Formats: sequence, C-alpha cells, structure tokens
Amino acid sequence: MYWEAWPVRHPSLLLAAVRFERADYYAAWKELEADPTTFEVLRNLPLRHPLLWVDAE
Amino acid sequence: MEREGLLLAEGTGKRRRICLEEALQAKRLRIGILLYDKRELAQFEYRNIRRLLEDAGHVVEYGEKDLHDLRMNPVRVARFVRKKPYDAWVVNAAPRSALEWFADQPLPAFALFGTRAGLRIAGASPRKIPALRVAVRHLVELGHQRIAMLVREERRKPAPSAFAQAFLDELASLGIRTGSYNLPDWGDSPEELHRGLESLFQYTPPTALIMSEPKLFFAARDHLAQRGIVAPRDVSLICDDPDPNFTWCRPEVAHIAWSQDTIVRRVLRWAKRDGKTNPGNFVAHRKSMIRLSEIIGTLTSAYLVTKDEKYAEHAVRHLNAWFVDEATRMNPSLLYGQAIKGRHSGRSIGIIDTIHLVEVARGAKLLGASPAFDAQEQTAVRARDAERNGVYRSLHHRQSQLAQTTGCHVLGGVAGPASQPLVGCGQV
Repeated sequence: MYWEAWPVRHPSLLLAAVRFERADYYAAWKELEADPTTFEVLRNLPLRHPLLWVDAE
Repeated sequence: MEREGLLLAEGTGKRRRICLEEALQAKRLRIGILLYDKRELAQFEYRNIRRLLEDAGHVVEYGEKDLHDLRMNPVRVARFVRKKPYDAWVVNAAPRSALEWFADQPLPAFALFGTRAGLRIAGASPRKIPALRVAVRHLVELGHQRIAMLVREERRKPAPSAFAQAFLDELASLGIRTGSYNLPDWGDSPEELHRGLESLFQYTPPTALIMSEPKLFFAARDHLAQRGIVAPRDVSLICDDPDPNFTWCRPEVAHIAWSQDTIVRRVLRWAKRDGKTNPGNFVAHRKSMIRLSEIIGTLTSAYLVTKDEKYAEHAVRHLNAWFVDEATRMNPSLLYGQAIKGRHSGRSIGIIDTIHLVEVARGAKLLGASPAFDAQEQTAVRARDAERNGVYRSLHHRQSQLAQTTGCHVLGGVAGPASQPLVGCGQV
C-alpha cells in the first residue's frame, strides 16, 4: 500500500543529521519529497515544517 | 444501531442485546497458510499463529500442499493458490520467484521468512546477517580457515540467498578464497545430506560448519559423532537459528538467537491491518486539522524567516478561530478517538487522532514573541491546550502523547524537553 508514495522527508532523518552531525542523513533527507500530497502520507507525517523544530542558529 | 444489526430487540420490556457477530463478520478473513514443509508444522509457532489468527476472528487453513509438493515452482504455486478461496495468504519461507509472483497479485500475502528484499510484499524475518558476520569473523580470528555452510537447496540455487552470500562475502573480506567448498551442493534429502557430509569430511575436512536450521544441525552433529568427530573438540558447529532443544546441551550450542514472538506479532498486525484507516471513515475533521497544521506551520516558518508581522497576524486569526473565539472554537475531547463499530466507542490509542495539532502548538509557541499575538489570546490558547493535555494525561498512548505534549509543554510554559531549543543546526 502506498508503495510509491514513500519515503518522504522523515523528520527523524533531519533530527538525527543534526544531533549526530551526519551530512549523509541530511543529504538523504533533502533528496526526499518535501510536500507530499497523498492524504495517507500526510496523515502519517505530522511534522512537516522543519523550521519549527530546528533552531535556526 | 438496531437497523445495522448491532442491537437486537429481545421483546417488549426487555433490554436490547448487543450483537457483535455481524460487525465482526465483515472483517473476517479466510487466510491460507502455505507451508515450506508440512513435516515442520511443529517447529516454528505455526500452530500458535493459527490459533492467534483464529482468536482474532479469522478462518485459517493450511494448504494441503506445501512448497516442496509444488517443487518451489512459481507456476505450480500460482495454479494452486488460484484454486483456493482464501482472501489472503501467509507464505512460509518461499523462494524469491514465488514471492515475486505473490507480490504481483492483488491478493494480500505475508512472507513469513523468505527472500523478499525489494519486493512489494508484507513480511517478517529475523535479521541474522550481522550476527553471522560476527560469528565468521570470530571463527577466523580463532584460526579457522576451512569454514563451510550447509543450507537447503533453494538458498543455493539459482543464486546464493542474501544470508549465504553474506557468509561468502565475509570470508572473502577476511582474505579467504571462497568457492563451492564453502557452500557445497549436497542435494536436498536426508540421504543426500549424509552423503554430502561424508564427502565433505573425506579429504580436507572443514574445521567449522555453519548449519542452517536446527534439524540440519542435529543431523550433522549426529553424523559426525558417529564417526568420532566430536563438536566442539574436533569441529566447531554453529546453528543459524535458536531451538528449545539447545537448552539442555552442554557445552552450549553456538547459535544465532532471535525471537519468534516478534515475528508472530507481525503476522497478527498484518491480518489486523494495523495502521490502515477504514476508507468509509468520517475524516472531514482530520482534514481540517491537517489544514490548520499546514497553515500554522507555513505561516510560522515564513514569520521566522522574514520576521514580517503579516504572517504572524494571519496565523493568529486561525488560532483565534480554533481555540479562542467562543462562537467557532473546537472542544478538546478525545472520548470517541479511534472508535470501532461494534467493538469500542473510543480507545486510549485514539489520542493519536490529534497528532496533527503538534505543529500548531509549536507554532503558537514560536509566535508568542510577536506583538500580533496578544497576551489575552495567548492565555486563551494555553487554556485550550491545557485542557487538551488533561485529556491526554487520562489516556495512555505514550508515543503520540510524548510527541504532542513536547509541542504543548513549550506552549504552556511547563518545563518539558522542548522548553530548551530542540536541536542546534550547526553542521547542516
């Protein structure tokens, strides 16, 4: 189900990239879909706005 | 409810009876289990899986043929499966070609073991390769040079399975030249196993053997002991699966341990279609909530980037409509969260239904610095949020509660993990 719709920009990738200083995680995150439109995907992706969770400094 | 058959009249003056049968009937699946080898029925928890699936309301049957009867042949598997009336299949340790066929069908199937990497099929199998690599490295460090692995035929042909290949790769990475000696072809019957061991040990016997599955392990240990080759004195033996019969062996049997319970639970969750939303559900409110999270998330992000008050002002209008204005605000009740018709009027795990408020709460906190968000409104939003937290605390779905209150605690000014900046952003 929804095989083609995943993966997307999972916040875990971004947060782990920051916390563990892993540029490869960040690169993987950046490559993925930022604005999924499939409802099932949106429903399972409550964190979609990275600036709200990552300190800009 | 009476019209839907959920309540049955029991005559005038008597209480109506709740009838769950009809509601359950609709969800009941007929599940076929296609076994790798019928003789192994007692080995894994197949009976347990069947019983648990039946307890969950499904009808479960074993196919009268197993994968060996069907000669591991996808064409025969397809013909057999098509003749059966089942809604779904649990397929046990099938070769990749058969799983490829299942993955192409609309018929739901669960690959219970078997090589399914990259295939569109549900499934579960233990991840044994990391442990295998450690074991091989350990053997080589102990001085072993002649190490062989005995696996069933479909794991050697047409190409080595991921597990067998990882074994060969690990040997090669340790500087050992690999070939058919390390992964010998021995046929697939008990007689052939014993003949294979005979020839393997004739001239340059391995000093270590990795046996796939406990039954091959016991057969090999027995075979070697008959010839005076005693493990672990003369040969190191490793089994790639756990087995309850190992418990009483001394010295202990070296084996790769994994839990059957985890695998069994995965089968049950698949049959329950855990995580799948009923397509007939009322989701308009969920959609509004997602819309709000999109609005607040986007406007707050824009505000953080540009510092332009117009974004904050607009976000606050939405927050007021949802949480402050008496005429329009929503009430934070989760009493009917994740209700299931005929089963529960609401469940504690229904707390996840408001997960999409997490960025709203976080956004409101970040907008707190804006003059557009006046103190009175902030207090009102906090009050709504505190009510909602009260609702959460009376429930127990920890994961989403944590995620949501992480956002909310920031908002309410309560000390919480997110009251400090969550993460720094130095490197990225």
